[in-house]
Amino acid sequence: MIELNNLTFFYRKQIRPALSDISVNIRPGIWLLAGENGAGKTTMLHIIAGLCHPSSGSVTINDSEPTSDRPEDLGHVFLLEENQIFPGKTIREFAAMHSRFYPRFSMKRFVDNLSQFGLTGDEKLADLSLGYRKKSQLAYVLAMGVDVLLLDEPTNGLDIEGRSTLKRIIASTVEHDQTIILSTHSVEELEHLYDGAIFLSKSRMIYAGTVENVEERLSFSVTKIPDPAAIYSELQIGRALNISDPALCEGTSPVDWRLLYSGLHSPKASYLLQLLSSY
Amino acid sequence: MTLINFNRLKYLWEYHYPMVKHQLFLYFVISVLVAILTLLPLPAQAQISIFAIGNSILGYLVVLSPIVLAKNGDTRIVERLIPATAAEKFTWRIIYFLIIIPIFCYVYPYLSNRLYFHIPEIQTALMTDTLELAVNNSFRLKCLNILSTLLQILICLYVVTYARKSRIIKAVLSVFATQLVFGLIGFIWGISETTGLLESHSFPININKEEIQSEIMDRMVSSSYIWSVTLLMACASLTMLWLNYRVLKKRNL
Repeated sequence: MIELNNLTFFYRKQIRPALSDISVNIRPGIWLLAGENGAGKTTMLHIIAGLCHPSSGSVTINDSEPTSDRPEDLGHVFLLEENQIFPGKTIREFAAMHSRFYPRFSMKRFVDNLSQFGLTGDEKLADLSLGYRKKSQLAYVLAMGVDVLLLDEPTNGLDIEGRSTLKRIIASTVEHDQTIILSTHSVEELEHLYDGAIFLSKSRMIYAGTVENVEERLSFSVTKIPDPAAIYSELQIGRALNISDPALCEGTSPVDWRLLYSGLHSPKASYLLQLLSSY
Repeated sequence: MTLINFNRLKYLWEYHYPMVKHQLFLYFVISVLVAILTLLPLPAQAQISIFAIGNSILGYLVVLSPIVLAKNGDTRIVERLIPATAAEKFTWRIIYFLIIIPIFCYVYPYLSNRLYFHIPEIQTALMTDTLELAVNNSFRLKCLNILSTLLQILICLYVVTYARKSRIIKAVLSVFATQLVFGLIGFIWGISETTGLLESHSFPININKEEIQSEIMDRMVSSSYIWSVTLLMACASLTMLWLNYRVLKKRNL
């Protein structure tokens, strides 16, 4: 369990906080972290990884602080950022260098992940395109077996097949005690994977909840024209996406996190939040 | 909880080895080359030039060796997340950059310099005098040289670890800045000492320029200047040791 309590963070010489009073409990599962540019997503990931110290408030992962120096605690978390560089000539060389520190690393899973991404692992990292480099890194981190895996924009640079493969690997990889937090602008691609979501806006948390929480309180539907009874509707070419009160709506679609995110930035945000936090 | 786990220290070595193996090989080759060149039967001027250039190159190789940690780009996130204590990461760096690298660089030239005295066929008066000076330096000067190198290595290591961008350039510039600072200190001391000597008329009559220079150098070595600078470098080195440990401990990006 990751617990953030009244977390606030200021970068040096900045007046406005990068994160402001964030409180959320993140249980094991796959979580979406979404927000506009500059909302604080990467900062939040850095704080959970222990790479930044909160200015106030606290962060714990399974009751221990991520800034702890203890290898047992450090071994629980890994962060894969966008454009991160792994030392080593090939991903296999890096895996040989690095995986010793992670007892739950699975070579079998690593090789299988590489194969699914169409790689052998012997390709020179410096010669790979951004997309293939990202695939090789994802193949490795998804085999590390850490309790908390933080992925910052994991689908950036991936082709359509790569994104589909990533979704498949994540769905089959995550264990009951693992937490994967994906920070992404491309919500739709891995949409049906998420067990919960955290939405940030201008350094504040506007919503955090599980898929069960949302399903109990809201209904999502797709119609030909906007549903007049819907709380929030979005018109697209040939269809309308609706968020409605479940009492007033029959036959729903799975949770549409992107639509919910849009709704929470619309004039109907306060009503939606009221419903989401009811009973 | 033990501060240092030797298994993890071994893992840290295995983690860093692919990054540093080329450096170790290159430094070994250069070191052996300098050692061999010192023993060639060349004219005195050539021997002196090789000795001076070779030792300069080796000196810079040693103090700039931490740059190897930045050669792959910004790998700080991966390194800071490695499940090892700050003490273990710090110990690895100290052992590698302050013990292994200097040994790789200086052992063979040192042996070669000693061997020079036992090969009359290649000896020249100028080179023999130079090597005797180098080998028989006073304890004070040896301390100063060691601390000077130590401080520059630690500054380079700190900049490479702490800086976010342009790590290599900043590390190189920081080493040059350190050398400039100590050069300036020596310059200011030299100016003040010369001025004092001239005003006190304590030179013999008819002393020439070379003799004045020699007098200043003798005073520099025998006076409190060497000990003052040594003490300053020792304090600075301790500070840099602490800062290097602290940046690993805090893990702040």
